[in-house]
Amino acid sequence: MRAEAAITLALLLACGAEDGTPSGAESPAPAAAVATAGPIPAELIGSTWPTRMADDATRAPYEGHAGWTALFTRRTDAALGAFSGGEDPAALARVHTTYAAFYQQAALLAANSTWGVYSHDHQAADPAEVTVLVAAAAGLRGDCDALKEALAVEAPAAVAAQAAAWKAASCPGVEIDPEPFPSDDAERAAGAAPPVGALPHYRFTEQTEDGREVAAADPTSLLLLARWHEKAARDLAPDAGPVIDQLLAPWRITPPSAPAQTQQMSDDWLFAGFLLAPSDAAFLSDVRRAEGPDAGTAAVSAWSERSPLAAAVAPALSDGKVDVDRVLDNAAAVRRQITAEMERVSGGEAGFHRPFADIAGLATLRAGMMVADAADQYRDAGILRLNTLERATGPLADPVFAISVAAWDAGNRNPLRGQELVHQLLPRFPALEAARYPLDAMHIRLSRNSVDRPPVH
Amino acid sequence: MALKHALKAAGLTALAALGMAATLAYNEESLPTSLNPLFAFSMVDYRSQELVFDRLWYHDAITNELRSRIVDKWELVDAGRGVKLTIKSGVKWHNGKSLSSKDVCFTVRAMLDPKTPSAIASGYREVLADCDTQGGSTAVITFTRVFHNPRDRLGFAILPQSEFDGTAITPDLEFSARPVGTGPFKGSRGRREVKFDAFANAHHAPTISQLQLREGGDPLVQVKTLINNGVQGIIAVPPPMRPDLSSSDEVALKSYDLRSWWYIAVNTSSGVFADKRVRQALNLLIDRTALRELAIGVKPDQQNSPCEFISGPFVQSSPYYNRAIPVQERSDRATAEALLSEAGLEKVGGRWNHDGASVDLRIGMLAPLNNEAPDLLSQIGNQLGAGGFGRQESRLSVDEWNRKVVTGQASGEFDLLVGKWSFGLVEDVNDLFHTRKGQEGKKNIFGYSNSSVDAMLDEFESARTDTAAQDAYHKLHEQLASELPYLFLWKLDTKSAWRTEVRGNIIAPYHYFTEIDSWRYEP
Repeated sequence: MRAEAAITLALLLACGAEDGTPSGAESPAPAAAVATAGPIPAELIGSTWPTRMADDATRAPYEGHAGWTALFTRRTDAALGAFSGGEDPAALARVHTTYAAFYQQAALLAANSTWGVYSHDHQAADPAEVTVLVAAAAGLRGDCDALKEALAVEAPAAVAAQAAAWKAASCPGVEIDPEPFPSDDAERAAGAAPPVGALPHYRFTEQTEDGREVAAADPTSLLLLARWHEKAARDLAPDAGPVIDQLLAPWRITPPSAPAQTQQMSDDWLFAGFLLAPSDAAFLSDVRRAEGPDAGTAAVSAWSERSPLAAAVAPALSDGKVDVDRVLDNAAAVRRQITAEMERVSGGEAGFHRPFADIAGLATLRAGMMVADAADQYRDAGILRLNTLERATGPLADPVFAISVAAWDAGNRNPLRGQELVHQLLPRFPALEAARYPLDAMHIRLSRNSVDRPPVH
Repeated sequence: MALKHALKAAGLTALAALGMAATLAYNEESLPTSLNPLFAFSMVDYRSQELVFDRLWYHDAITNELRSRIVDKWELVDAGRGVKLTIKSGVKWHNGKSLSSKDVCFTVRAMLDPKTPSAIASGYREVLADCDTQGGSTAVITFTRVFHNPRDRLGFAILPQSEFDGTAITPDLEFSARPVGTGPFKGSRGRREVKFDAFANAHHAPTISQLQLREGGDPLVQVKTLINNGVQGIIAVPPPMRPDLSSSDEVALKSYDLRSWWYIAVNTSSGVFADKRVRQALNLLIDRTALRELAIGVKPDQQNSPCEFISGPFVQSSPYYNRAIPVQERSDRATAEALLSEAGLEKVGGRWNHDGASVDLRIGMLAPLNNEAPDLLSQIGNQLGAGGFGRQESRLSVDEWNRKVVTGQASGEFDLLVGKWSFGLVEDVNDLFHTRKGQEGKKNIFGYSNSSVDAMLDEFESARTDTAAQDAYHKLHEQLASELPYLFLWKLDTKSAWRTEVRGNIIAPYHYFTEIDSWRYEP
């Protein structure tokens, strides 16, 4: 991401274009009638929000508003405050949806870390109560057999209520009684932090002679926080239920069960986001729903004439597999295509073109990654995931994506990158502290199970 | 045609046939000190060695999966106290000989040999007990006790028995400059650069024919050379140079996951610096915010800075970092002066004196750090000079640093030394702060010795549980932040830059070149 261009747009959004001319515009040329060539077909390119927003009148409602500036710069916390006035409930619903996605992945991060430290690398000295944390981790990871196994042992009294709640919970697709878990709805409503109850949630005792205290956090609390935000979003936009479903589909722990249909979406749901058009949300929902190694690529075929992102990913498929290099090339091609199309619409270059095009390029990478995941190309998806993270700076630094990488890393029992990401995100998402307990515990355990490499300069 | 013949002559038939031969040049912080994997003194050494050798097991740079390129199959034996492994067939050493189980056991025995003066080996001595061969391809490695996930403790590089006279391996052997490995490249260290020539093998298929490691100099020149395609990569790009590269379509910045923190070590056995109050005063005279802005280009209010202050010997994201200990961001000259006066120093004509003599600081810095943080040494000197101390500044070459500083031989020459330490998953700092005694305190720069610090380090070492280990290091952090054998500065993210023609260039955390086989050059 080019910081200078990002700043230009942030200023543009904060202040508004003085005379309606895009900032940085050169001598305007008459718009050509033909859309620009590239991976996205001509009939779809015009449906993407960056190209539509190249038009001053379309973009005008998003300029000069603190909430949209905050969303563009990925300051979700600031956007929450800015939209809380109630004048734009759809925008506020979108912010709550972003939070819901974020905390879904934060719950997965906590669950994967908890599983890594207290199940995969379990030690006899671990407190007896961690069985309920292991159960929660299993439930959140969608591993229903492991959930049952963890709950087969009678839980210690201190966590009996939580164990009972997990016994009664649905799996997969957790529906659980929130009552026994640390949280504070009143604090959430007031915007106070951290809204997952006082941390640490538990102080257990190690099963050693020392009987040292082990501070722990319950990953369930993060799921409940995600649910709270999701409900807030639905309450604010009662007609947008299917839209919210599709936006959350890539980040939910359990995939959607029904095929997706393109939903009507205002630009409030799309602007500055990584879905270029409403059909992209439906496409990625279907990718997430895909079952079987060919299903992800089948979703691409099914949507490539309707969804810009499906069209952008389609040329990167070869023999039913995602070709990583081609996805990378296509992302760059989409970026160029969107830039050219914005110039065509704007009648020349403008400062905001570059960040908008960068978002479109990164959206292509993310879509390719999701298709690779669905196609069981775990390592290839990982390469695309890390390439996406590498490019995700400035307005491209989506916290939802970042925390999803941390969760993925934790699932691979790799704590280091996740710790850095959590450390960076904590000031904006204080409840993330709840995920830090198991992540740190996993790191210490893994490092103590490795051979010491002496420090070097 | 000449290139094709040359490649064939070098045994690179496959590369020549595919026509994919390419040479990549890249700038490193310095030339490596040793290409022998038992003697890594710097991250440059580790990165270079990764090109030449295979580690028995390693973690995939993407999925973190534990893999081996040279082990065909393995099983636990002796009730979990050993691992029986079978070597892949067809793996050749760079000298043309076949890799065998004898080489695996030779490596284990070399590490266990007390006459091998290797800090890396000493870590394995606590874990490995012995190794026996069962035929040419099978080896049984036994451990000192049963370990959970024992393969995680077998990440050492394999050495060729044929290249050594015995198991006592020293760093001064020719092998350190012209090593023989089974890795994807055959390395050869020259005076000005190191060349790594691709070596076709049963388990490696590099598509880059040669890598040329060059010592990076002035950061601006490095960046211009990269943009002009004079080199294709820079391992560590200084933060002030990153915006220029980030705006180029021909270069991509790449994250390199490494935990590095910077410090100023204080000579606690030298004159007034033995007094804790003097060290605390020095700590308060350093304006880290100004220093960071001047040397690294980070504005005081910059969000997500690549450079973050620390108050102890860990990065802030580490579980060992004690977050209750605040960082010293700005200077506090009034408190510093009060502490110095309390310690018996007297300010005469704006200069601090002790026992009638001016207190002068002899400040040294590891020279390559100047590339990452230009003028850092001068800026530190300026701040301490403005605080009332005379100073002499000098930069130490990597060789001098390894020979004098790390071995604790610099106490007579320096009062302050500016350096950095890098860590991977394991953040053990015992070697840095424990009293030098036997195997303890091997990297204690100025011979710092404090019984309560030693007790905390021992507590960490003997901790039976994770909580006990974390508690010990949290206490250590608090103690060191008060004791100040180091003035802790910051952690600095490492970013590499590679030209976009270099594709598939996955950078492995810590080891860097683990996935070099996937790298391609497509001009």
